[in-house]
Amino acid sequence: MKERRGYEGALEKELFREEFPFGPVTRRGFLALGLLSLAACTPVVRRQGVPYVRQPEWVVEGGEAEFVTAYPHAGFAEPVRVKVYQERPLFLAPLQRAMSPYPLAGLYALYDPARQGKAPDWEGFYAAWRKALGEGETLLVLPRLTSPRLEGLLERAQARFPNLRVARFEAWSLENIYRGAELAFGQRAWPVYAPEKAEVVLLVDVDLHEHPAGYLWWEALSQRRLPPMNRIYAVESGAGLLGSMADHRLALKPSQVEAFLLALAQALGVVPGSPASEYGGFLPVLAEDLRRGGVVLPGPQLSPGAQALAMAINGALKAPVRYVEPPEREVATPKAFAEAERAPRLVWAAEGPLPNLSDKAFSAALSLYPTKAAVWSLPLAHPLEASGQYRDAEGRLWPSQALIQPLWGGKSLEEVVAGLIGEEVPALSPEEKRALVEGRPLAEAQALSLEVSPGLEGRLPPLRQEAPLEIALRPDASLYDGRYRENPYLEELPRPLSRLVWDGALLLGEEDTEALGLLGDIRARERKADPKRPLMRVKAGEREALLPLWPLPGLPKGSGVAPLSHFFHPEGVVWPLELSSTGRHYPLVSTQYHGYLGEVEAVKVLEEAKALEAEPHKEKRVSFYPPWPQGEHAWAMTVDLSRCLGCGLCTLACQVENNIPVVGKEEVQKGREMHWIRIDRYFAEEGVVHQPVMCQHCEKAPCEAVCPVAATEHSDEGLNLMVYNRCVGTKYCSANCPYKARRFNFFPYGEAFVGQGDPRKAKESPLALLMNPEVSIRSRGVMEKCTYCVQRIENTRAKAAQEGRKIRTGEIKTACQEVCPGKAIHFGDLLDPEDPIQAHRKEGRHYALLEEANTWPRTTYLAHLKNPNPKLKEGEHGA
Amino acid sequence: MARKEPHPDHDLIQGEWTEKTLVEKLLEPVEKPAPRPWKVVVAVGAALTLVWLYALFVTFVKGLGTWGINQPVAWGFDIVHFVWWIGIGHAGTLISAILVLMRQNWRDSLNRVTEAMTLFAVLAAATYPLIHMGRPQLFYWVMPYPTHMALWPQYKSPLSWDVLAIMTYLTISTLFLYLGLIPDLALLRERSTGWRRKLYGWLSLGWTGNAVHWQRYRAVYVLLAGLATPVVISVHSVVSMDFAYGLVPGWHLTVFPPFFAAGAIYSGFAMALTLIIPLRRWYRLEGVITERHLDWMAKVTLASGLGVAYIYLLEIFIAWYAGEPAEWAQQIWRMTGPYAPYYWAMMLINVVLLQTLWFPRFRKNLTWLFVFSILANVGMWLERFVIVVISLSKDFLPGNAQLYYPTWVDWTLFLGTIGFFLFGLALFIRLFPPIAVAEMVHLFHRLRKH
Repeated sequence: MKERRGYEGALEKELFREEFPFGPVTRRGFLALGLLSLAACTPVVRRQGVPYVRQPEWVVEGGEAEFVTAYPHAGFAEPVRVKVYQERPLFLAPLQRAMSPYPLAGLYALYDPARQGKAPDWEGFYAAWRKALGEGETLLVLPRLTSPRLEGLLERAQARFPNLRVARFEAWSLENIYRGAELAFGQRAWPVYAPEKAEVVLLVDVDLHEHPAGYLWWEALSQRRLPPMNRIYAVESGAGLLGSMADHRLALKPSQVEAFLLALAQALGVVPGSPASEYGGFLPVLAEDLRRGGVVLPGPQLSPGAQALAMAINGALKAPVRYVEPPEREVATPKAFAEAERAPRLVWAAEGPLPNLSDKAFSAALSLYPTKAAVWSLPLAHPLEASGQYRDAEGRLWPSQALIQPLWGGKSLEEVVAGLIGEEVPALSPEEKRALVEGRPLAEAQALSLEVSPGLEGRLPPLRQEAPLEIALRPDASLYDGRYRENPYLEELPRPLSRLVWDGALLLGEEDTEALGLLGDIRARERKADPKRPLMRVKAGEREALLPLWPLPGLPKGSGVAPLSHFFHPEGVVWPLELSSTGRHYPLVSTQYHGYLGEVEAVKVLEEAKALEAEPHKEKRVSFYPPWPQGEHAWAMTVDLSRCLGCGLCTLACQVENNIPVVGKEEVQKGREMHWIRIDRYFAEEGVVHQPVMCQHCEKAPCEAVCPVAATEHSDEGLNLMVYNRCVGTKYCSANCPYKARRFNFFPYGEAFVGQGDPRKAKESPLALLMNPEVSIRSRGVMEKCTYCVQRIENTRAKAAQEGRKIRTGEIKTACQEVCPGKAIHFGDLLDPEDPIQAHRKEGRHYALLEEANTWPRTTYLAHLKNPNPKLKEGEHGA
Repeated sequence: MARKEPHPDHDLIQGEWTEKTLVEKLLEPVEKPAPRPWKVVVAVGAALTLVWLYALFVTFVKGLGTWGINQPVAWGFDIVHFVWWIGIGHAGTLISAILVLMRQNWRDSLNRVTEAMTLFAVLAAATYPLIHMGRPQLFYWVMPYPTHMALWPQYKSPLSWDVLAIMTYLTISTLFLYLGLIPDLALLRERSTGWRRKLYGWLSLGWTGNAVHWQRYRAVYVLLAGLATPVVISVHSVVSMDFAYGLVPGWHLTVFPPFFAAGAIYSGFAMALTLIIPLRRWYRLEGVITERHLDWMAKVTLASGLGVAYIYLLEIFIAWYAGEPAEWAQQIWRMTGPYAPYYWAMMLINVVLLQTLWFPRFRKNLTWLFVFSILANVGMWLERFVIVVISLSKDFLPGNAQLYYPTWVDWTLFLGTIGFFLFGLALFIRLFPPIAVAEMVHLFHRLRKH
């Protein structure tokens, strides 16, 4: 034994072979072993958890799993993939095509401790409800329902309780679409458009979040925003994101939009007569262009007559649209609100504004968040806590599954109705389970074969009448009809174009603001970065609201937009409204005050023809420093501005994925928002351009050179790494970043966000469960920024290594890329010849932001493309 | 017998003095009861220092969010005041080092108080980089020290140069001040009793004033002056590189090192005038700090101020001539943006009003000189505000732009350092003679024996 030396001997020693009682034991060895075992002794830990006897199928210890479900927004299914980490849903991505921001932001509501009210007494509630039903007619107000199973339950409930009356309430109704179909075809129907198949698209006063299919439309339209491009015309009274992408935009008052539709129908010969106006040459050119293969996409708020006209035009154009059964059996309208206020006995289970619940014999409110307004306030389950059925915007039926036990004892609407009649809600059927596993709908929509019946002009109801000042109530892009008011993610998500956060504002054109005599004051305040804006009194009939005024370029004269989240009217989308100044002011906070392009070329816009001719641009690269050592990959990102309409889903996804806190209105006002991706919005000559800006991962990063403690470093794969633990917070990196892509923790924002304002409560808050365990929470005084989702890169690398393979092309998707409805963001590897990023970087419209700063960014952009009609010149029609 | 020509600097000490009366006069601030203004300055200084401590407490407990800094304007009052104080700290070393080497006799009555001013200004300045850190408890990470992680400061960063430059400057200016004090401390030791005697005794390091002491003292003094001379120029040049090294339009200029050095001398002399004019009055030191001294200081202020003014105009020219859109946009933003009043006020003081110093009529008018010396430091404060805040508030992308509004904490931290500076200086002149007694006696002999 003694002559053994070197590695083998060392190994033996290490394994304590000598020290075991079977071999010779020396005094020293005995002592060493004894001390070592003493050191190894730890107190007995009583574990409170007991290991699973049978592992539930969705629990992956220490890892993440992904499930498919349908997440409802305003009754419509949004099929999503949910990333679950140890039973905690943490991230959502669209299953197919695109989704809205609401499901993703809804993750906050899932863990929100504010949802916790009194312990729900369901049995007591049912008893009281049954008693009320015995006493007289009791109204149950439900939101938009697209679930056949719930409709079945309601039928049985009404059969059992004849006094149960059911109304459906939605502040933003789709009724006019169905009624338009009734006018055009003689039966109610739901149009399903395929805008990607159209050469020419006319958007009629519609925006992304206003139509259930809005995000799907942009997914479809954006496919055709690359050569050969489609051409988008927009006629709108608001200033929406979809309209901002149009090649030609005509701003008209709401009533004028309908008149325009009639004129277009006349120009196309769909209805007899000749157009009253040519709209500065816009109409004939548009009519001619539409004949190439166009489609008209109308907004839900247009009157039934206008809807019918749009359907008739689409019929005449043989547009790519098909009709299916309406997804709602009974249409949800804002009128149910007045009914609910009158009802003596009421169970309110709808979302959005809350009616007056006092002075009622029986009142109950079922909602996600508890309310004190009703005698009975009971929690509804969060969509991820309950299973159900929903139809999507194309009429397909999707099952949804519960991914977590209800955290605060909530029940789904199905369970509530079933509980009333003593039924059990069936578990997921085998078909539903199969559909979820395969990621497909349970049932396709029932197609309808419809023809426009002749003589539409005779059936047309009068279109909307013009008024001097028309203000439309339209859903807020973030809060929708107010139902997401409790959600800080959405509150702080900048609204389109105005980039306002935390508040709804009355949007008015600059001319009208001037006419009110307020523009001078606003401009003076803008210059001083004073957030105060004039507070206006908006009045319609009995109801009024105080709304601060925000002038927005691009709105037509004599027209404004007020958010439904802040002003609801049971008559629906009403105008005219009375508008008067209160003389008071209210602070409005926007994330971007300077929207006009200056001398610096901040964003590139090209016409399609020029983009095709453009030569790939060769970046000039000069540096004193030697190149970095090159690793196995060279990560890079491209953002196609042609496919980006600035919806902010990337910002939100990044926030959820990377534990980015919401900081609150006052902090945003000071310019301290933490979003790693900000979307710069510019009012350029060619129209509105959106440009997401995040860390550009420069190869010659100005931030790296100036950090005195080497807290920001360069990886051999081209990542600009931020070492939070090493950061002392000199903020020099941020000052020296030409993109200003870095964010600083001026306060303990992370802990304050989790602790809902109190950093000390962060540890107990259920919101801690929302935090992605793969990403550290940044402490106070530390800089942070986009990491290219480095946790996803490393997880994929580990997975590939386990499977003994290389990382596949396109295998890593960043959070922003996963949710982008326009597929504008691409993350890839410059060393992978298969990666599409190679082609992107060779395009003529490829550019690096602020190339003159010589930073060699890894995130680069593809110029925004426009496809204007040569027969139309911008400016002639007041766009 | 031809009458001896008087010494060309004979009027640097005016009045009838004997060595004894001169020494007694110079030691008056230490030995006689303090005049009323001194008590006011100490009281105000102490009060502001206490408020300063409170603002520091708020900053440390709550975080940097209590300041007005934001996303584009990541540096605000903290760096403005850091640069401002460092600039003020320049006059002392310049007077003691460079003027010694140039054998300027007029420095002898000014060097002590300006060196003390330097010490407290640099101390005040040094607080800002410390407290402006997000995690100030980890400040030592910017210094080279051995760690088990083998981590070293990142020497490409001008902030690491800053640390070295400031620490060097603080060390040298403290040494200089102390070295010059030793003969005076010995003198005080001999003339005082009680705790003062003990204190001066320890501090005077056994100085007895014999010839060997004097010979070594002179040698060290000149050597130290030689060492300090480049430091006078280098400190503010290094500070300027924090900006010149950056990409930000308005910062990225090669002219910054001489620009900042000139600005530092300008503001340092202005601050010295602000302090010396009242000091001279309160302690009746007109005989040793003569109008000629003040005239000399005004001339240096004018010369360095002209350098600053030239570079202001040069900046505008370069912004236009370089054809860099962001640079030009920044210049326009300064001139016409929401901060334009600050820019134009700076131009008014540092370019227009400065020209008054060409004229002896203005230079000799002590009221104007005093007012202008304060204005010059306001102007230099504005200059730092223009460079730091206005440049950051609008850089390359229009979407980045955001204005900066300082909070009460920012203001308190500023007023607090002024309080600390005054408090420290007042205590200093109560304990140590504000005019170098040994130097003055030496000068007195030279002037008389000529």
